[in-house]
Amino acid sequence: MRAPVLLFAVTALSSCTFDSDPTPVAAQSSALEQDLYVEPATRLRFPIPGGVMVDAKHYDPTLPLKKFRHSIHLSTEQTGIAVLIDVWDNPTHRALKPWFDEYLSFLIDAETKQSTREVTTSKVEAIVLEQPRGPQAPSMAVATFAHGEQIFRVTCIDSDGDGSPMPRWLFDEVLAKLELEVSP
Amino acid sequence: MNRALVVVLVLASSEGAFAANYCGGTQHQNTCGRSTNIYPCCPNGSNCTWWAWEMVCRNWNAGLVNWGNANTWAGHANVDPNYDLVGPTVGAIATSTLGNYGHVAWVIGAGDGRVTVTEQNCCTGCSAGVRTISYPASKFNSGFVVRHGSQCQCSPGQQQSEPCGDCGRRVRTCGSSCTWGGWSGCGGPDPEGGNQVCSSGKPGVCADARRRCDGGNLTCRSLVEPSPERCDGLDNDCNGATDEGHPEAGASEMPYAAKRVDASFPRALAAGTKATLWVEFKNVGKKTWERGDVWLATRAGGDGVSAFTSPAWPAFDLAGGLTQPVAPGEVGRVAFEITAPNTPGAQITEKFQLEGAGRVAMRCPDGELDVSLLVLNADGTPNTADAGSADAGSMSLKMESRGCSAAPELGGLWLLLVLMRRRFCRA
Repeated sequence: MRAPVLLFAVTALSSCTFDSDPTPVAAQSSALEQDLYVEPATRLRFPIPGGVMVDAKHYDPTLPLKKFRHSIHLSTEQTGIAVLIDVWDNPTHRALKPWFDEYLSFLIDAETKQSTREVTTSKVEAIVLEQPRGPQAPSMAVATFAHGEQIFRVTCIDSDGDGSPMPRWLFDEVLAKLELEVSP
Repeated sequence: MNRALVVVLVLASSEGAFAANYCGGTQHQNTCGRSTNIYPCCPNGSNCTWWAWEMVCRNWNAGLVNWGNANTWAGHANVDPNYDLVGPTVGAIATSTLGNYGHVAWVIGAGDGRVTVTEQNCCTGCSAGVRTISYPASKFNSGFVVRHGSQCQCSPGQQQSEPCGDCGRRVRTCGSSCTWGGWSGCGGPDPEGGNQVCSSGKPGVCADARRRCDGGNLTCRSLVEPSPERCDGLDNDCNGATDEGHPEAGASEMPYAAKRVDASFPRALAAGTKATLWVEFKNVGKKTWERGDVWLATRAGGDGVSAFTSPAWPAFDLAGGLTQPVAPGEVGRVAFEITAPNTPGAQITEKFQLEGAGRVAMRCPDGELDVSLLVLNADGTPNTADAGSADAGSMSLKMESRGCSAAPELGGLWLLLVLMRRRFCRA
């Protein structure tokens, strides 16, 4: 499903002051024209700033549990895919840490910074990884958290804002305003 | 930063500044809906991730998202439903976690434990460009990434199961060639641990049944299968009759069991007249037959009143009893009187049954006596209407008791005359 949201760029951005530090941008984002996007299969809801397109894919539910079942791509014309939300089924309510260690620990190497952070409107604790850009690959930020019978991974592509501050701002915006288990 | 600059930043920013459309002497070809290869080109002018990403774009028409350094590509593929990790195969991304950042390459040949790949390398002093080189397949320690379903149906060792029938499941396992093996037979556990009672619809010992999951389908299976009939008070062969066919096996274990050894009764009797019959049974059971416990009962149909009933009988349905106890292995005799009904010409057949204490019928091996006689006129002559009937005469012999010797089948008046002279038969 592809849901383009028109960017009311002139009106919206006339009140923005994007900077290398995305925080001020987020702080002033309330002035941006935003729609609420509801993803019925995952029961997620989050605001979509103008100009951001959403593409949700759903996969065979009989695949092994290690495979994510849903993937939501947030992109803009300028940056391409900026933020990914991947959703796994967690029917046995496994705790986040052992699940993470089994499936996503490959993301951690000597250069990875790990922390925890409360995310979503439900204030769920997430494992956050910051992978700086290296010679081989762009930077990346990943927040992983569990809620109900699902595990969520929100990934920011090019998180250090080298190409644009937009992915990082969108990543933080989604993590802060994501609503879980909403009624479609 | 003023507002105008913000607009410029948002609208004019291209994909990451490190992204490169040219690396290792190769120009990005957008066959995957990505105007830019998202990976950077290293200072030496090459990058393995840039090349592998480019090969995926060109060969699979897919633009990978940022899978990070080469050492995390297999991890990303492992959890991504669009991709599978398999063994060495052509048209796959070879991945390795070895070294600082790992390595990825594009496989163009595989066999004999080796792979031939095309690759670029990101390292100080490495020459730029794409090269073709052969490696031991084991160099790519984290596996080979293919599109899901393109070459692999499944991950080796993976199991899949699905319901079948009423209560079964079948499973299949993914083989080393990452294709599914055949489905197993359909089967499942019996409901309630095999203790769910059900109705088999069969008589006798086969009636007791439990619900089973046979071949994945619910069935009601008898706990006991039919077997040859025994003398045990049970319907062993599940035909609806108990101890039928005079079985001898098991008789010695029964409290009461009898085997008829001799009998004497008339074949014809004048209407209204009386006759005394006797029958001898051997006690083949465990208990001694006591007087007052063992009786010869009638098995008349309808209201249960025998056609031969006599005032001498101890009860309307008891013809007679023992005169003395009979221990196991001994033979006892029951003598009783019958009265021929006032129905000249009638051929009457009636069954008598030896019963033990509590009126338990001694059906086996043979506790019965069948009496069949022709009712003659009161003066002892054959009934005229039936005298000419060969059937009437012959039937009196055909319906012989087991203990009564059988005469050759004869017919007509000659036979009846013989019968009048010799009214009794004996075994």
